[in-house]
Amino acid sequence: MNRFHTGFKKSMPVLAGIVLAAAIAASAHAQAPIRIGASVSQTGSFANLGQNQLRGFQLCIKEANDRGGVLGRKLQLAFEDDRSQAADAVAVYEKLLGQEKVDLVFSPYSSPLTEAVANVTEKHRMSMVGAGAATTSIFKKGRKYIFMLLSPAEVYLEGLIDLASKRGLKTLAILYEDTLFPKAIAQGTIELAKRRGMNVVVAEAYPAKTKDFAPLIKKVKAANPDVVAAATYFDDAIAITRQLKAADINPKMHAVTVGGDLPKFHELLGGDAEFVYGASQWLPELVTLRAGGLIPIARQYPGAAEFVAAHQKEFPDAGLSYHTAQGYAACQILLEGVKRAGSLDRDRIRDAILKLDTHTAYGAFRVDSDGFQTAHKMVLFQWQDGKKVIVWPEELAADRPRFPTPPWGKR
Amino acid sequence: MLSMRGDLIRAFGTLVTVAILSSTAAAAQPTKPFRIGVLNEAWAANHPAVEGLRAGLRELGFEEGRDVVYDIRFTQGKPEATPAAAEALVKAGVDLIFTSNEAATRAAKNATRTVPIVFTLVGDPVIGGIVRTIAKPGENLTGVSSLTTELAAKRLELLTLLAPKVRRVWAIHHGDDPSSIAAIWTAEAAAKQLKVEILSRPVYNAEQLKHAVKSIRPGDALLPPEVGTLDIPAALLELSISSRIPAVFATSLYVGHGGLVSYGSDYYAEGAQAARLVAKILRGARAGDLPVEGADRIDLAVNLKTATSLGLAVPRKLLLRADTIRR
Repeated sequence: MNRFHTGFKKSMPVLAGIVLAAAIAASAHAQAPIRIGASVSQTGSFANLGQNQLRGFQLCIKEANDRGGVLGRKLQLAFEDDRSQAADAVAVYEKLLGQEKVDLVFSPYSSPLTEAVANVTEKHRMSMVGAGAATTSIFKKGRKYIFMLLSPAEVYLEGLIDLASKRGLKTLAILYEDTLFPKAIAQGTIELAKRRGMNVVVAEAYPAKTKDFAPLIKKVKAANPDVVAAATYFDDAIAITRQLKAADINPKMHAVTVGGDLPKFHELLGGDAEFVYGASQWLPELVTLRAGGLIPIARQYPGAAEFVAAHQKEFPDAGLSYHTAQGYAACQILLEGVKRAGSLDRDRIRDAILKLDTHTAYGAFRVDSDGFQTAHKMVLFQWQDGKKVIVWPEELAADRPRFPTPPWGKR
Repeated sequence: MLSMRGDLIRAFGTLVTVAILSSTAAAAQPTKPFRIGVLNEAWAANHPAVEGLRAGLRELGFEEGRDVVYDIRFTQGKPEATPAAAEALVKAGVDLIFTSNEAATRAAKNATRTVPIVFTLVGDPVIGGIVRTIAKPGENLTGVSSLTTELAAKRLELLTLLAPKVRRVWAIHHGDDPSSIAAIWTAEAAAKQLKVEILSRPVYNAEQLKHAVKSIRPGDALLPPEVGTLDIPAALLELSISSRIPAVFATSLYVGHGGLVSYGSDYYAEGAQAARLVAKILRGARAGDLPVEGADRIDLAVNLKTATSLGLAVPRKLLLRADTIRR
C-alpha cells in the first residue's frame, strides 16, 4: 500500500488527488506530473513546525500548477510522516528515491532529520534545498547536492549579542538542547559574545525532551548573568521561560530561538512572553518595513506580500510562521533550478541552483560552492504588547527594544 | 506595532516624569524632562537623523526619560498631513521641535512663532524661505543645512563619471520644494560642461509622479531629490534597480539598498550635529541667535554590485575618493 499523501490539503488528500488526476487527464497534451517527494513531521516533537513547513510546499506547488506547472508538467507532492525521527525520515527518502522514483525532493524539517536524509539524497545525486536546516556542519561535509536556504545557526543570536554589547552588558548564560542545531547556535553565540568582550558564565546543554530544567536554572541563578539565551525548539522555549520566572531570575535581556516566534508562545505564556527576544529568519512584517524609516525593503522579499495573502486564503486557520515561508522559498528555489536547467537532469539542476543569486519571498539566496548560504539575513524581535516587534538590525527596527527587561514582579 | 489614525502617524511618545539635567541646582530640585517634538515625513520613528539626535543628546549628557522625552510624528511622505502634525506638536506643549526636511520645517514654522525649531535635511534654508540669513537666522529657528543646492553639481559630475554615455538626466521633484528646485538650477549650470541635459519635472501628486517615471528611457539617468515628499526618492530607487537606470542620490542610505552612487550629508551625523544646537537651546540660548550650520559630514558612497549590474566601470579615482564602498 502506498502510504504517501499526494493532496494539497492534508485533510483532503484523496479529493485533491482526484482533482489533480482529473485536471491532468483533461489536458490533451498532459504528461505525467513531476513528482516531488518529502518526509514531513506530522507527529512527534517537530509536528507543529513540520506542518508549517508543509503548508509552504503546498502553497508553492499550487501556485506553480496554477501557472501551468514546470517544464510543461504539473507538480505533485508525495509525502509521508517521519514522526520527527531521523531513522523514519531516512526510510521515507530511501523509499521515495529507491522505489517510488520521485523526480525531485523537498527536505524534511529540522537539522537532525536533514543531516540524516542528506546521505540518501546525496547517494541519488538528488538536489535538496534545506527548508528547515540551519546547521553549518550539514553543508560542510563535502556533499554536492544539498543547498542551504536559511541563515546559519551560528548567527541566530547575533542581534541579541550586538544589542547587549552596545548596552554595556557583560555576562551571558546560554542553555541549549544537546542536538545538532541548538548546539551550533550556542557555539556561534558564545563565539560572538567573546568577540564583543562578554564573559560566558554559564554554557549548559540539556537532552532533548527535557522538561525539568531545575539543575540548569540553579546554575543560572547562581551566576546572575546580564543576558540569558536559550537555544531551543518550542517546548523547551516555553518551559525555560516559565522556570526562569519560577526561580525569579531577572536578566536584563532574555532570548529564545526556535518556537519563540510562534503565536502559540505568547498564547501559552501570556504576559510572561513580554520582553522576551526571539530570532527569526523571516517575518511577514518585513514586507512593509523601511530601512531608516525611508527606504522600502520589500524588494528583498519579492512576492512575500502575495505569499502572505495566499496563505491567509488557503489556510485561514493556520498561523503563519517563518517555517511556512521557508517551505515556500525552498520550493521556489528548487523549481527555479529546474526551470534554468531546462530538464530534470540532476547535475544540471545542481549547477543551476549553485549559480542562483536571487531573492525569494523569504529573502536573499546565494550559496557558495559547498551549498552554504551566504546572502540571507536574520532579524531579532521582541514580544511587545502581544506583538513581535523587530528590534534588530537597527536600520529596520521601527521600534526600540524595551530595555532592560524589568523583574518578573514588575512586568 | 504602530497604529494609524487618519493621516497622522504617531510613534512612541513616552512621557516620563523624572529629574532634569545635570547641574547641582537641578539635581537638588528635580523638574520635568524637556519634551522634544520630532516631525518628519518618514514611514517610521527610526529616521536616521532622529537616531543621530538621540545619540548626540545622550553624548551631551541628556538622558532619555530623565532629561528629555520625545514625541515623534512622521507623516509617510504625505505633504497634506505634515501641517496638522506640526500643529498637534505645538498643541501638545513640546519645548522644542526637531524637523527633518523642508516641508516639515515649513509646517513647524507656520505652526509656531514661539516654540524653538531646530531643522535638519533642509537643502538651502535661505532659498527655501526658512531663515533670513545663515549667520543670524532670527525668529525661533536654527538648524543644519544638508547643502543640497551646493552639492548638486558635484553629484552630477559623479554620475557622468560613472555613466559617461548618459545624455539625459531626469530631475523629478516635488513642485513645492524650493531647495530641490535650487539644486536643479545648480545642476543645470554644470550640465553644459558635462555634456548632459537636465530634464526638470515638478510633480505634485502620486499620479503625476507615476506619469513622469513612465517618460524615462533606457540610457537616461536620475538625479533624485533629497526630500522624501511623495516618496519620490524611493520610487526612483526602485526604478533605478528594476530598469537599470543609473542614479545619484543625496545620501548613502540609498546606496546601501541598491542605489549606484551618492554624495551628500550623512543623515545620522546631521542629527547628531543638530543635537548640539538643541542642547544650547535647552540650556537657554535663543534659536534665532544661533547661526545655521552646514552639514559637517559629506560622504561619497558607491555600490559596486549595482555598477556591475548596470554594466558600468567604476573609475579608480572615484574608488579612492569614496568614503563607503558597497560590494
